[in-house]
Amino acid sequence: MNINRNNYEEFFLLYVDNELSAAGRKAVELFVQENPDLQAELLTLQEATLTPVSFVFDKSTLLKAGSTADLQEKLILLGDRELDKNTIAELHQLMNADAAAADEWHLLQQTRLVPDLSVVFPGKQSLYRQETGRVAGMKWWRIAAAAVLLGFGLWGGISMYNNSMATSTDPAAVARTKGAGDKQAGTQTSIAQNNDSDQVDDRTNAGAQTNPSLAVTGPVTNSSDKNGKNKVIPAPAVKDNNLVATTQPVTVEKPTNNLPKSYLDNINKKNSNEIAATSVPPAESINSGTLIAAAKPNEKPNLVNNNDPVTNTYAMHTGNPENVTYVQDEEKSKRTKLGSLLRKVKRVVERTANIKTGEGLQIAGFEIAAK
Amino acid sequence: MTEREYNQCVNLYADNVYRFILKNLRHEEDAKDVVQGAFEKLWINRDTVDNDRCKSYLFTVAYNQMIDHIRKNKRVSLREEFNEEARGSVGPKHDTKRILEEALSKLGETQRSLVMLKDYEGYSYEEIGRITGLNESQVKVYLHRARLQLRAYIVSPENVI
Repeated sequence: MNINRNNYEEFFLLYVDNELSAAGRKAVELFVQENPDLQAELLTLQEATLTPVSFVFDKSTLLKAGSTADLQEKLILLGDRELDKNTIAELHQLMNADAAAADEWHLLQQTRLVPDLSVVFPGKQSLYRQETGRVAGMKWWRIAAAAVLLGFGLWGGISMYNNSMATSTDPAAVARTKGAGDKQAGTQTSIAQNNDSDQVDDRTNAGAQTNPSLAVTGPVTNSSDKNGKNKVIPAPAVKDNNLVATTQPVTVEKPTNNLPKSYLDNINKKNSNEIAATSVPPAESINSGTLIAAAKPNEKPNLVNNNDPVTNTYAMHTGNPENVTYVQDEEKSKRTKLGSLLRKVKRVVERTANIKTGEGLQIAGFEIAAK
Repeated sequence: MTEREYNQCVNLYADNVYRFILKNLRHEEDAKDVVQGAFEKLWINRDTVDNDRCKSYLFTVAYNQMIDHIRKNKRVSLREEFNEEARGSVGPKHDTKRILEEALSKLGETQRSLVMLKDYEGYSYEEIGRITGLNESQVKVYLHRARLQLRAYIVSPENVI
């Protein structure tokens, strides 16, 4: 190794970096001693090098996963009762073995809040509630339906009341409902009211008494229909005889209802049945339904729409002395206040709307004009 | 829920809800209003609320109303500042309960509510999540941080027990 003043810098740098062999380092040191002016330059290069510093890194910050942080998390979960049984048992074992873990657990337990039970809600009574019942909303169509039902109910109630009042004032109907035992008395009453003559009473009594077949087989239970329209009250079935009588003998008291005087006179006469039967035209005196009902024995009388004034007011004895016709005064039963009101309304509507009925084609209650 | 069940619910849970709200708001009248509002809502919706879940329903409604109330009034934050100032003049404290109350007031609204629901009512993370609208993981993380904050406050030099 040959060090001279032309190449000493290279050997100085290698010396500072400790890259020379022991013989090389000896040669450099000998060269500096021979050339003291270059010693300062070697010292400057030696000062420019860094010396290692003793630095201790805190490894605890890097050990979160497996040490304190993990333990804290587990202890917090233990306090929050969010761990399974196995982990809880492991932690208890760890706390028993490790004092630091037990201290950490004790510290975390101090962060637990304890409810203050002395704090209560002061106005608890104001929180109580009571149901007051639920109100269902009424729609317009419900109100309308209720009004319609109410109207029908009211109308039906009034009609029934009127009918019941009409029938309750009918003594003959009441008398007939008593049954067979009352039949004779009813007949006597009606005949007695028909005429003041005792002869009729005698005849009727005699006829009823002498003819044992004049027995009522069943009571009359219905004297009028719902609408108060006329019908012949189902007279008691009479064996071998057609017994027809008026339901309202009171009306028979007045023989002036278009009945010829001579007919009334015939009633009081013996053997006048034949005269009455023959002198009164069938079409005028009794309508066919009544006649059929009276003529057929053992049959209940049919409904009769009898508008004939003669039959309305007169109990007629037919050729058979036991045949008595019961005829209801339908005009009276028809004429209720409500009925008349409805008829008036109907008339007004027909006039105002110019409705002509009876000339068109009727289908299902509707009428189609023919023209 | 029937009328009887509702009134039974009042007897059972009115104090709990009131305690929870009062600890958060630290204002009696406001806490009463919130509790009454929660029960009023329960009464209105009693047909749809199952009796078994009425407590959870009450806390959910009360919590939401409380959050709304806090956002409107900002009363809690003002009081927190006052308490913090007042605490500065006092020396080291050794009253654990008081220190814990102070530490609790340092927490955020959500963290404080989570700690209360956990410690006062013993709800699970899942139930707390349903009440507060958070998922279970969020509840776990928030509670974990809250615990560590409380612990750090307790072991701080001025609060060494």
